[in-house]
Amino acid sequence: MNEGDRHPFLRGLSAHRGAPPTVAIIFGASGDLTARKLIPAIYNLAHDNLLPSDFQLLGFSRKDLGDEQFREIVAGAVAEFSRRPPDPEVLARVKSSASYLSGGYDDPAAFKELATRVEAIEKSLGRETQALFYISTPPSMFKPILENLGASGLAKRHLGTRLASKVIIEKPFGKDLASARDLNAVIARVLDESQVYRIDHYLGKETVQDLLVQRFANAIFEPLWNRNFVESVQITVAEEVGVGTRGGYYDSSGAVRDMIQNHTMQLLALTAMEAPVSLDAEAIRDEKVKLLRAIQPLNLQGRPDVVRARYAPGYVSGEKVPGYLEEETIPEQSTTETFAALRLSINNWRWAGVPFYLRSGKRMPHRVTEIAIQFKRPPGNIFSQSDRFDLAANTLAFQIQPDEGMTVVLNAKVPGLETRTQPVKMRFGYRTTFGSNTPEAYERLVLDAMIGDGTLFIRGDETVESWKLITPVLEHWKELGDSGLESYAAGSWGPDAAEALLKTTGHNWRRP
Amino acid sequence: MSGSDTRTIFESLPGLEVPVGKVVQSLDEIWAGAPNGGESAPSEFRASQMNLVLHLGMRTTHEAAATQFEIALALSRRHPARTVVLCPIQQGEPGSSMRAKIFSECYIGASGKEMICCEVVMLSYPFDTRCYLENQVSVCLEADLPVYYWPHCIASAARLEDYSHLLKGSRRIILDTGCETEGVEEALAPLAGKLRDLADTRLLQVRQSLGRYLSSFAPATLVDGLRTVTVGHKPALAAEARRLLDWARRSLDQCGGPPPAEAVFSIRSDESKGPAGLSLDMDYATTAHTIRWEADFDAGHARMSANMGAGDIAAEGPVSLLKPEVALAEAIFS
Repeated sequence: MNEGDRHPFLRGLSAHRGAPPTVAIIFGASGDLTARKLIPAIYNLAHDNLLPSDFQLLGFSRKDLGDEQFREIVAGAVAEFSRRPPDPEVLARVKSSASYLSGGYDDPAAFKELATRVEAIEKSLGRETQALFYISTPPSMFKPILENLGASGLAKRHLGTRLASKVIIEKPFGKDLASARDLNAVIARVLDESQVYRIDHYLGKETVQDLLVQRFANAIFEPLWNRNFVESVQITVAEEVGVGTRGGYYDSSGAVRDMIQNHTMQLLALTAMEAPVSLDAEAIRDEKVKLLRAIQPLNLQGRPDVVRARYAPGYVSGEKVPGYLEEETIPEQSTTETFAALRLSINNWRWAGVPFYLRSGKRMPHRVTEIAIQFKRPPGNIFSQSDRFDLAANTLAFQIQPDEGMTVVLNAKVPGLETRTQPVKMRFGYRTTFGSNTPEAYERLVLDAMIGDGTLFIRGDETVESWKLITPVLEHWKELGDSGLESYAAGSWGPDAAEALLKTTGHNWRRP
Repeated sequence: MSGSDTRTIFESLPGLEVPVGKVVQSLDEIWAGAPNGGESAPSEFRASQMNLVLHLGMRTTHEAAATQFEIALALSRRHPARTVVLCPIQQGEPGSSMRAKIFSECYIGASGKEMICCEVVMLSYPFDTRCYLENQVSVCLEADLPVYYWPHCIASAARLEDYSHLLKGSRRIILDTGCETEGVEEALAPLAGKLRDLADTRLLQVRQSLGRYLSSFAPATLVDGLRTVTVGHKPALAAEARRLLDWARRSLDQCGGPPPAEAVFSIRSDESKGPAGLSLDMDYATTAHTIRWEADFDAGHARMSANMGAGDIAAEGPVSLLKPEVALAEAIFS
């Protein structure tokens, strides 16, 4: 929104300080995500005085709870999961704004009651209020919730104004192309795309948002950011943990659905996209979709572009851990992958011929998310004697988490009488330059949805393009069963087959 | 000098005195630490975002100097900075040459996992050497980073002309009209684009509170029949009241035409005892229409009430003046 379009009394304030009167309704209010992320996010926004002064929180779930019980859940969630210790005054305010409604997600009567409750809240506040719906339920409930929002009229409140209802939908958005399209069709019947906020919390991370700034606010990178200078790109999203108590969900999902189709593809899009014409949400999302469309279908036969694997027993951080099939909730006959590696080709002028390597897995040596751009070596190298010159390929690495920052690997002369070289690292660290105590991703995302900024959310066509690439892989694996499912020791960087994926093109996986 | 403290302001501030010509070398020596068993050397955490030049004018008392110094440090804990504090030697104070002190602090944060380090260089200079200050200050600043100039309690508007190098070379000039001499802001009018007033940035949450509330009324409704706009204030908040009234007038001007010619904008000082606060009253020609906003900063909340023809509306919400270091950061970065 242009500054001139804003109400005169909001001009000069950043958009995030002008959130309109809002009642936030969380579907799945008794769930894990609500406790771990959403309530702490709302608390911290209240702490920073970024919530509208008459903000109301309404929890909705099937559990039979009263208002007071829900308020105690709110207090407990803040105490346990907030990045800041609770301030009694702020917590009291958040608690007093919270209420609860129990009902079935597929029960029209419950949504009628919800609509009545929302209207009553608006009347008591004396001014028009937007309804922000957060769907944090099992994916099977997304459709009935959306349909009921439509049938009850809640989806169409204040349509065409800045107070129009908004719906945030958690991942997974579909489990394949058909289901994602189906879900988009349901959304289109009930809502305008501008009302929809498909969440990928990686986009709320400061370091991910910094990617566009680094790429397009610094003139030195763009001339090199193409096939003439880039040798390869590696994106790693590694987790140290196993499936833990999430086995039931994870076994029906796997590494590709859980991490690659969404988070990793978003990192790829931001790394490889063209410069947007502006910082408007649609301009950025248009470029991401364009990039996703340029990715070539993956080769699944002969020399496949994908590797999948499952962790076996091993050692992580010095502790012995069981293999995937030994985990409590995992069935013996599971063929779910806990690791996947892909080699992608992007067919456009910028990237033709540059391999993009993506990998994600559980029970890897440590938790790290990194994007590494490896550059080509200088031509006709005068430093070619390998016994004197230890040359590394210049690499620009973005550490998304932990230890957020950027590293550049250069070659420098070792002090001495002879000319010898050695790789050195230059580093920019977020913590030492900006400190921590930055907002958590969910704080940013919830507030962005409240003010109607969709930049950090996934558009319908983005998720379709991502599923178009990934779905043939999943279908192929389903046909194969466990044939071709590799194994890797927990605590290692993945199977040998993943190493072989790069060796064929003379590359090696990084050890971030 | 003030009261019984016979030290100069320079002497009263913390730090280690070093030769003026060795300021940068002395700072480097602080950070040059040997790695110990794989731990990072302190120099790895020496990171700055900016240079802040805090210029303590001749009207600065010892207490005020200490306060401004602490504010600069508090800012640095969130935004690592090299701060250069300029302490002109006042009339009657001993000292005929420039002196320098250095101070550094590392802040490990609430979690204990971060380390933010800042540096402070203090320069004391005889008033009649001020024309040589530019060179010495430039040596003390960290290269390639922006400079923010924060003059405090400058003796007179005319005095600022002596420091034109700082005014022109800095990205922002930060004043506090709550304590500056009359005429300082006017003297800096040619540099208005770089000027920020702490009295204004302290009001960020006030503008936010009022803005959110008033934005629920259509702009045309806010100016239709407007008769008076009055900002009330406790004595200590006179500068903030002026800024609030300016903001209200600008915003009303943008509501689809200027307010009616007879609308009167005024400030009312409330001398009565009571909590620190501000208020905004808007009265309309139609007697029943009124908007009232009243903030109690000690209690940390504001009350809003209005009747614009659709019945009485009331709301409450949190509000406070920004803390000094937060107001300073807002002035620097917004």
